[in-house]
Amino acid sequence: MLLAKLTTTPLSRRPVWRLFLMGFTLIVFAVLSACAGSPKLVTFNDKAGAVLVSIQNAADLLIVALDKEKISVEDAEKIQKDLTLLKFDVGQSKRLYMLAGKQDDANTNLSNARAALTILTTDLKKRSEK
Amino acid sequence: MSPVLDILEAVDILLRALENSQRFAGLVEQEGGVSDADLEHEEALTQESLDKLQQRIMDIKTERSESQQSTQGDGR
Repeated sequence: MLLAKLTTTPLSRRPVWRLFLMGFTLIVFAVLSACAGSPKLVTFNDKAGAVLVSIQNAADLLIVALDKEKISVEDAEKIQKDLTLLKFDVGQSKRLYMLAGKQDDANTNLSNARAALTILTTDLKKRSEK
Repeated sequence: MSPVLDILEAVDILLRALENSQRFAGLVEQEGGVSDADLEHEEALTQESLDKLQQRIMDIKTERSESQQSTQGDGR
């Protein structure tokens, strides 16, 4: 509701406290991502784990977007299927890495999954800004 | 919605994002990397999040269908 109101009301009509709150939220997000959100990913497990955490965050964001009616159920369903496929990709990469010993293929798979997740999350943020 | 509720909602979203990020950063930096067991745990948590999302979608679909049926019932 808050994000919905902040992003749909023209700037000139937003109450001062809402603008302050939006600024405060952005600053807190920036501080959080600087402090906790960017660990150094060294091993394959680190990278795979990061993709999984991003999928969890995207799923949480999608639930919020659904509750705030910022996204249709049909679109949410499509994105949910994409997220499930991305989780499957991580599992596939893990098998390639650990069982087949194909480190390069596993890392490429993982990089593709991360890129797809970035596109998906950006799209989700754009939708909630409309 | 009152300003207090708006602020509480913003704080709730921030805390959820912080919890996930901190948990993962802790695994990577304080415990010397993500172990196989950690990765399996993350897989389980991801599945849990996806299941929760699917359940929410199903709930909304059910609500919508019930509301349609009730509207049709009123029209008769």
